[in-house]
Amino acid sequence: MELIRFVIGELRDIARTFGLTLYYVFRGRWHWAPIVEQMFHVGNRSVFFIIVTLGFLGAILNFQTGFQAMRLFGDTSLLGAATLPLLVRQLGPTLCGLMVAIRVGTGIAAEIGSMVVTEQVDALRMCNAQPVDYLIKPRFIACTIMVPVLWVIGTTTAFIAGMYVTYWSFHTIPATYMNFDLLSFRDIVEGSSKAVVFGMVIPVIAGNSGFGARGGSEGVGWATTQAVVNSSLAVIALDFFIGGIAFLFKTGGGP
Amino acid sequence: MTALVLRVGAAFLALAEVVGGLAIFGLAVLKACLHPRLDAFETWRNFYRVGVKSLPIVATTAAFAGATAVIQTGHNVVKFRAYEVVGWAFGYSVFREIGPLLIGLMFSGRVGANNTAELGTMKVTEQVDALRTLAIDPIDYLVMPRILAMVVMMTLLNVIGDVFAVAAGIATSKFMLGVDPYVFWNSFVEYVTLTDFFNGVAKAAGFGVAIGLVSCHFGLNVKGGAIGVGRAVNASVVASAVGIFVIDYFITYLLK
Amino acid sequence: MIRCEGLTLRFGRNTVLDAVDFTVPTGQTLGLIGAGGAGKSCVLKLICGLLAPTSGRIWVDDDEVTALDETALMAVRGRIGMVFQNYALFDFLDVGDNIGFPLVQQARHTPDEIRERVTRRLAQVSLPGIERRMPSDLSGGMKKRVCLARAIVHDPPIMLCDDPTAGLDPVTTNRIFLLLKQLQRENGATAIIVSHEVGYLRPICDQFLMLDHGQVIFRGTAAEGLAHTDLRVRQFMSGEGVE
Repeated sequence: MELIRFVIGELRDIARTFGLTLYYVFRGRWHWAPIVEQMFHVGNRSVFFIIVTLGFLGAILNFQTGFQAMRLFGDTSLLGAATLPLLVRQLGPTLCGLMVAIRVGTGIAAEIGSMVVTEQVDALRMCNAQPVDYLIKPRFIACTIMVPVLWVIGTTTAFIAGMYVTYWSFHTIPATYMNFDLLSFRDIVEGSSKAVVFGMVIPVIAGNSGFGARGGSEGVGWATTQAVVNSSLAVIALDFFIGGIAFLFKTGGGP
Repeated sequence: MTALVLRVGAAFLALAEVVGGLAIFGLAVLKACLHPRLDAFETWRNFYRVGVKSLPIVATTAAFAGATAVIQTGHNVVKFRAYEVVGWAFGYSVFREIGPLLIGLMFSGRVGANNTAELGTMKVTEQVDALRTLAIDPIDYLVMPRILAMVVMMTLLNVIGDVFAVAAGIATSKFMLGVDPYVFWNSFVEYVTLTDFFNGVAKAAGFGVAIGLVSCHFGLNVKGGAIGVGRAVNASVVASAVGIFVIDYFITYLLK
Repeated sequence: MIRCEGLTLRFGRNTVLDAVDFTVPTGQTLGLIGAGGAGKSCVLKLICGLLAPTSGRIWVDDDEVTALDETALMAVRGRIGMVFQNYALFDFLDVGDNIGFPLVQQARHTPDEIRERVTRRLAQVSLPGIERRMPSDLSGGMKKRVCLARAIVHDPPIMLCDDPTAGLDPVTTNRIFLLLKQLQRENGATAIIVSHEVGYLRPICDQFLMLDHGQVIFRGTAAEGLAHTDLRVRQFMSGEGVE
């Protein structure tokens, strides 16, 4: 019961911060300098991390599917073609989102959380600068632009890592692996819209956790943990909802 | 140019420091395993904290993972009208791969990050030094119960998560794909083997070891006050994620 | 003028302030004292609307702070200069930008005007020429003085100081109180100062208010406090041990 009340309270806070962010994005002035700085941070902090993790993901995916294909058909020539749509529309954006939540989300929560406990957020409000406008808006815009970029980089890395694995383990030559036949425009739309939504949601949720920090360094640690959990859960849940909507569109609604 | 070389060099040195530090820490933990001296109360407290506190999150994650897996396999299932393989495709991907992977990442965020923050705070407030002056080995007293709790609970939570994922999978395939639960269950029971299940369990145990080692190592090596704790939490979840993917790769390769 | 009526603040079951009343007439200074956790910082935050009270009303001049929304509060906050307990300097801006920040946000001044004012304020707190240094490079006393400079950069008629000398050595403490006294003489601002250094507060403050567990246990001048019947009040006001 207490858990449910906590979840509802948390969701209401996040919705309010999200609404405020959108309000300032459309109503306020855009200062490009902090936005570009945040874009650099988001990209710079996570690109290496995403290349490593998504590279391993591509390798694992092709192992897993390859063994299965060998057992069932004794043939792996369609491995690339079969895994690419799944990678583009689901695993790529979701894992990119999770990695950004882990890498960037914690950073945002720790930064804003320490500003809260050192009263810098109060000082901002005293100077007539709204914290959401001043702190979350640039991160929101930066992430909304950069997560799709990271999605492209991550998915490409995973696909290429998969190519090497198929070559070494199943001896399928890269030319056969590089097969885009099964990839449809719908898959790209689904994947990119997921990436954009994750980019919008992660900074808001992480920033909201940061604003909730209370009382010294323990408060900052708590906010950081909260940020990872909440934003990762949001990514996983939205992955389901967006995927479901895309599926219903494709099959024309209903089975 | 020199600046670039310097930065690349510094990055590699930092990486080497983390990997080397983890290896030394892992050996120390291994040595402590040879003559286990577990504090009963501390162990019990960690089991409760790690297991019970992260159950809701793991259950939610697993349910969404199962539902998503059904939708994503649904694309091909609908295309080829192969409704009788939904249960198999679902079980294979969720039990072996997506379930443990997502649960592991969530577990790392919930438990691993918390653990690093807690140990880090103990370190900067000199509580760890206080333990040492009382002739209590921090590895025996603090690290062993935590790692044990994480390995056991990660494995158990993965099994519980599988149950939630199957329930969500059945519901999703009924409502989104129009597949009868009976058909789903038949193909699930017929094609998904115990090997698939234990493959996932092995991965979960491996992830538990990785998260435990990484989060304790980063927690006990915090430097520089409150800001250091925040930085350590960040570094710990990132390193755990990389560790999870690497272990996933090797277990997939070894247990084909 | 600052006026509070029946100010009550609760966090869950925890009562921080319990029906606090006081008035600070225009141009006067109130010394707010009390043990740690007595709710002193909360009073200041309530006055600028950074916290909302559970019940009770607050007036700053003719504006009822407790009835205003965030947009209307901006006008009130523009008239208040606040010195924060933990400095609250923006660690992403250098000293000059920190001090100029309130003016930049008000957007009523040209960049040259802002630069000129920042230079003058830094000279006033006797830290000339450190505009381009970062807050993390400064000592505690310097940060406090920069925070003070930021609080007064827009000539606010109301000053709120939350423990301006917490954790500072006696020399720096003395310097900060001299500065406060000088500012008070020059600007004639209405002020509330939270501090434990009652010895330094006595020459500056017109009246004192002492809180204990969220309740007012003393209200009056320094002389009245020294002759008070309550031991706690005498102890605080004299700053000495009492047998």
